[in-house]
Formats: sequence, structure tokens, C-alpha cells
Amino acid sequence: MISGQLKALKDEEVFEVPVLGSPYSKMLGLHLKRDEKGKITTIMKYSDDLIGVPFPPALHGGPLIALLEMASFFELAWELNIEFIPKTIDVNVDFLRMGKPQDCFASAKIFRRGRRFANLHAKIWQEDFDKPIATARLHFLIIDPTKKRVQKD
Amino acid sequence: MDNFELPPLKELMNYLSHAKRLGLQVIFEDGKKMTLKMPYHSDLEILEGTGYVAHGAVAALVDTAFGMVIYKQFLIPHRLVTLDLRIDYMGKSDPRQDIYADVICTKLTREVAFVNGEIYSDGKEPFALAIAAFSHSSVGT
Repeated sequence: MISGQLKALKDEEVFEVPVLGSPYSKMLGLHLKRDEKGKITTIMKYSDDLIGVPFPPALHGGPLIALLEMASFFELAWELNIEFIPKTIDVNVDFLRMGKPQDCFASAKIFRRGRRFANLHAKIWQEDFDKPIATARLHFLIIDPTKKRVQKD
Repeated sequence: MDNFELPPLKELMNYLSHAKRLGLQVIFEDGKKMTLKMPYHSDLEILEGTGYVAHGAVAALVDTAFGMVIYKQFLIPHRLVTLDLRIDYMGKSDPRQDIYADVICTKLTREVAFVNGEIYSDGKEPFALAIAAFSHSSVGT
């Protein structure tokens, strides 16, 4: 489980590890990194399978959306110490620049965390942090499905 | 960058590495509508052994379907760029099932193509909706 892997990493100050237990993350070559400042970055290692348009080569939008969503999930799971998988409600992606055939870095910020929902903004950059190639707004449902709650209408 | 030719629709999928990796197939096309299928494969699981296909793969399916339905609207090859794309996840897909995207090109202007679509697994109610805007430009201009 991804959350189990995160729990094991909690004691480590700095790390860069491949995401385990998720075949799709493996296909995308996702790695999770924590730097000296404690910032969590999700990295998508380049492979030819990620190319969408071949002339000139550009990254496919799908993996970029996946990366934005995964980066948001990791940020949520890390910050809130949750052990369940939050449900994605919506993902709103803006594509700003062409994705070059090279590694992508993504980070997310929790803008608002309520009782039931969390709103995050995520971004992907390649060479320059200040020149994102894509940004996204996402909503997650953060109610633990294992805990019973009174149904409201 | 200018002197190249984009392939016709039927061959297009072979050029899109990621779409090919996901095994995407066009199973229906008519005018402004198109249906793409993403066959289930354990490589697409978000968590090993659960059978649930990752949202990312669904996003890739939708993005490809949008691109292809717009591509088909033109007589000559056009270069397409996704401006924005939104996906609403209304529920879960069925585990270990093929996933389909029905897409429609709702409006084509001189610069922009508007598309939306529904995503469902075998013959069921859609579990996700998507809407996007693409910029298009004829190749070489």
C-alpha cells in the first residue's frame, strides 16, 4: 500500500524513492522525494512511453494529469497522516507549456482543508520551477470510509 | 519543425507512444463523435491487486480521445494543444473492466475546439465526465 510506504518514510529526513505497490505509478516512473527543507516533490522519470505527439516530441497530457493528481495525493497523505486513499472529486488542469521529453517535477499545496473536503493546487515544472508546464486545481473527499457517519440529506 | 507530415487518423494511434502503451483502440467514429476503448490490464491498476484502473490512465484515455475526435474534424492535419481539461469523478469504475470514453466535439471555432465526454466501464452509467478546450493550428502555418 502506498500509505504504508509513506508511513515508513516518516522517520527519514531526506529521501528519494520509487513509488511502490502501484503498477500505474511504476509505468509512469514515479518517484517521491523529500528535500532538506522538508518539501515533498513527486518526480516522473522520462521514458519514451510518455510521449504523446511525436513531431516534435512532447509529453502526453494523460501522464501529466496523473502526475498532478498523484502529487496532490502524496501531499495530502503526508500532511494529514491519513491511511485511507482520499477520493478525487474533480481535477481541473491548465496546460501552459509543451512538456519536453525529460523528467518532470510536481508539487502540491493544500489551499483549504475542511472537515470533508480538501482543495489543492498542484504544478509541474521541468527545468525552471517558475515556468510550470501545467497547473491544476483539485478537490478530494477526505472522509475516512472505514469510519461510520450519520447520513445527512 | 515545419517540413513534416502528420499521419492519417487510422495510423495516428501508432505514432502516439503513450496511447499505444495503454492499448487504446478507436471502436466507433461518426461525424463529431468517437468512442475509444482502453482494455483492462493489471499495469493500469492504481493499487496492486485491487483491479481499479488509475485515474491517470483514465485521464490519458480522455485526452487521447479528445485529440483524435478533433483531429478527425479537419481535412488536413492539424497540430493540437490541450489548453485545459477538467474531469469530474462521480464514482468508481468497475474493477478489472475495460474502460470506454464517448467523446463529442461540440464546437469548432477558428482557433479553438471544444469537446466533452463521458467515461464508463462495460455498458454502465458513466463514472466520470470530462470537458476540455484545445487550440488547433494547421501544420506549417
